[in-house]
Amino acid sequence: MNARFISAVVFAIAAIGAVTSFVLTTVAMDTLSDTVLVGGSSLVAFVLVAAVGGWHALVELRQRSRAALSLALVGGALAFWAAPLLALSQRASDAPSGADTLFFTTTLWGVLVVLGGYFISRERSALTAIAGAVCAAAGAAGLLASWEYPSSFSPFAKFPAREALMLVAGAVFAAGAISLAEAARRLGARSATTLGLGAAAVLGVLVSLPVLPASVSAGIDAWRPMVYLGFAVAAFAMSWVWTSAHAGVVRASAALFLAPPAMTAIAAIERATAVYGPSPFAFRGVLAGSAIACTGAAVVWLSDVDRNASRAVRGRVATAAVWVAAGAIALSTVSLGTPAIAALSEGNVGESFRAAWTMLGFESAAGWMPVAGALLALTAALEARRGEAARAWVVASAAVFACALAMPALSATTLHTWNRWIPAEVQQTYGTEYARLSMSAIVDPVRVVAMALAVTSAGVLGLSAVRGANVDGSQKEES
Amino acid sequence: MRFVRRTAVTVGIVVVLAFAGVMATGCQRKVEVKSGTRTVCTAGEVISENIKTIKVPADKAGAYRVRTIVTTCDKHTKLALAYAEAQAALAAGDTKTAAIKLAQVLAIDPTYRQAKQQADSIAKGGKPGADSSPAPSTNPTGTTPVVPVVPDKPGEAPGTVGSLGKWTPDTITGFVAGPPMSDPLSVSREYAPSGSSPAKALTIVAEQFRTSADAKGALDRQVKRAYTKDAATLKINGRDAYFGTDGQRFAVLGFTDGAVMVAMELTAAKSPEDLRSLAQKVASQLP
Repeated sequence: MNARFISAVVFAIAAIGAVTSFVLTTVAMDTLSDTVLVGGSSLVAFVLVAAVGGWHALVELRQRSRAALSLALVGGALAFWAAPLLALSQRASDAPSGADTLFFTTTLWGVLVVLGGYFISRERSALTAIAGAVCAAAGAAGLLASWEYPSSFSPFAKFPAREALMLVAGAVFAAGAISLAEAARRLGARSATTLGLGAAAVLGVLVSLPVLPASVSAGIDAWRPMVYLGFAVAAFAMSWVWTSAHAGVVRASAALFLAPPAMTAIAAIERATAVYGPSPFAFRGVLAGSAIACTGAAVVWLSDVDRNASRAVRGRVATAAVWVAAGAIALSTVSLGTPAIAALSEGNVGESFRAAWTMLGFESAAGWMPVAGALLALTAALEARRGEAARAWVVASAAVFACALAMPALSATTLHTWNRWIPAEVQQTYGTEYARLSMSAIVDPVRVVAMALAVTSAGVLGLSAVRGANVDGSQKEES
Repeated sequence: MRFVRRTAVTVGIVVVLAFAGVMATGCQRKVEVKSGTRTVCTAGEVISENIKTIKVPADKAGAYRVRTIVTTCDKHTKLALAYAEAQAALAAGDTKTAAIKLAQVLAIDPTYRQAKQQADSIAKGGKPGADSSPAPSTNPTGTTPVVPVVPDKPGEAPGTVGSLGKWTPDTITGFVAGPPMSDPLSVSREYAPSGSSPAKALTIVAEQFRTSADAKGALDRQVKRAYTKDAATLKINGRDAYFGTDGQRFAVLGFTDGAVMVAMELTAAKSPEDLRSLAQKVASQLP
């Protein structure tokens, strides 16, 4: 079978496994203790993976180096036990909100894996992968902030300590994923997965023992989602480790970037087919955010360095593209601090409250589009000059245009619905007849120019490449 | 390759530092808030407003509110008094005095339909019957006193005068209070049981009406007709209170105090008829 097709199928399983694990964890977390849920699901996943050939693969490992075995054991314990347990222990039923949790435990974990993969594991991925990860994160933020209005998405606003610990969990996952990828290259994906899940299961069961009696009384209905979660973890672990062994952890992380759009698709299907009343989605934001998140994931997936190096894009025009992109970076960074949204909070809970203020670029989804676009443009220009990864920089350049198109759709989407200084009773009743939050976009010239520079850089780079190709073509015809 | 990595790290550091700077700036932002008092008549008209828009540091913004005082204005106090006197005159068969008083009512409020009908009837030589519903709450003989208008002082509360808040106290024995929800003419508050209780939840709603007749009408429509099972009239704090259940989950105890209707809804853990004594105990803690 075509290797690319197999890679695509396995990657799709990883993405579905990531989303399913998130959903089932949310379902089961209120009925079972965190340690039992993570330990039990790891055990189920281990049994499943061992049953489909993993055990047989383990038996053949006796001759392999202890270092490789240790990498698999430690990597599995970190990625499939420590990281999920640390993240889950920060979750209460709705604190942080589902949108915040999804962002911190999928998208930002993906960003950390990309950074770890690029800087620590030194995989042969292009610099555009980092820009792609930023692009995917900016898109996911815009998407999740458009799930409802007013949005429950407010990173680092309501539960900053819990969310910071979710990021720490992400770093733990990234370390585990990098270890597992290395182990899988030496031992094979199936053996590394089985060993890793085995380590997670042993640790999980040992730590769960003290609280197990209390959980047993929860009944079969409480345990059933945990078993399903085990299936999801098994699917995710096998496909993730296989992908990271064959394509690298940087590319595998694209599966995590697809989790928010996939969750949105599930919610949309659920709304369309069941009786859940009107959809709360802000559709423009959802579509724009999904498109950018998927674009970022595509940039990350296609960021591996081509084995057949393309010709470097050089000359004054290509150099100009780098400098224009650098200007875009500078201006987009400045625009994070310029006005982006005019906000108005009104409440009539007890005494009436009314406050109007200006949100800055970093608090709006549109504010991050020029940052992502400028990073994509700069990394694309740098990669193009190196002449090593044509596919990476072409896709990154195309993604700049996507960011520019998405920016107007996200212009009134705030990433900061919750404010510490607004009375809690007002914020909790947003969307009812007692209180409301209104947003209107502010057109900031600095932000517009930053985006325009990023687009110009990508355009100039494209033209420069086309001109080079034409010259090549005409020279061939002449010869 | 080293150049590219160095560039990436530099760009990352610049973005992070700039972001930190922006965050620090954002924390010191100024917010435009409204502050002051608005005085609203029980009839719904705004009597006075003293509201200013000012710019304050964001961390102080939560302290600035627009306070609404609900009171009965001079105009509607006079109107209620004249109407009550007209009805008293009609009841006594004194149509001459009634016509004068009804003319006073219509001079104040030409749209007062009942007064207009009675005045027209008298003008045609008829003898209309007196309005049998009780006089408006502003009648000096009513149980709710006429509330004096407190001079506006921006940002200062007028105290509890004219407030419905007294019907939703912070403490009720056996319950823990949630935050009150209110608008100018109603207040509601949910309470959760603090220990084992036959009730799973308690909600108290107090609603201000224009007249005590309106309040009694609301009690009939909203409470008595909806909670018809286990009906009983109880004496609480000198008032007649209606107790009823829906026969399934909810028990309600409702009463009026002048132009205010108060309804206490209890959610039963088992059967709602068991909640009668608890409802009495809770109601006895209200004014």
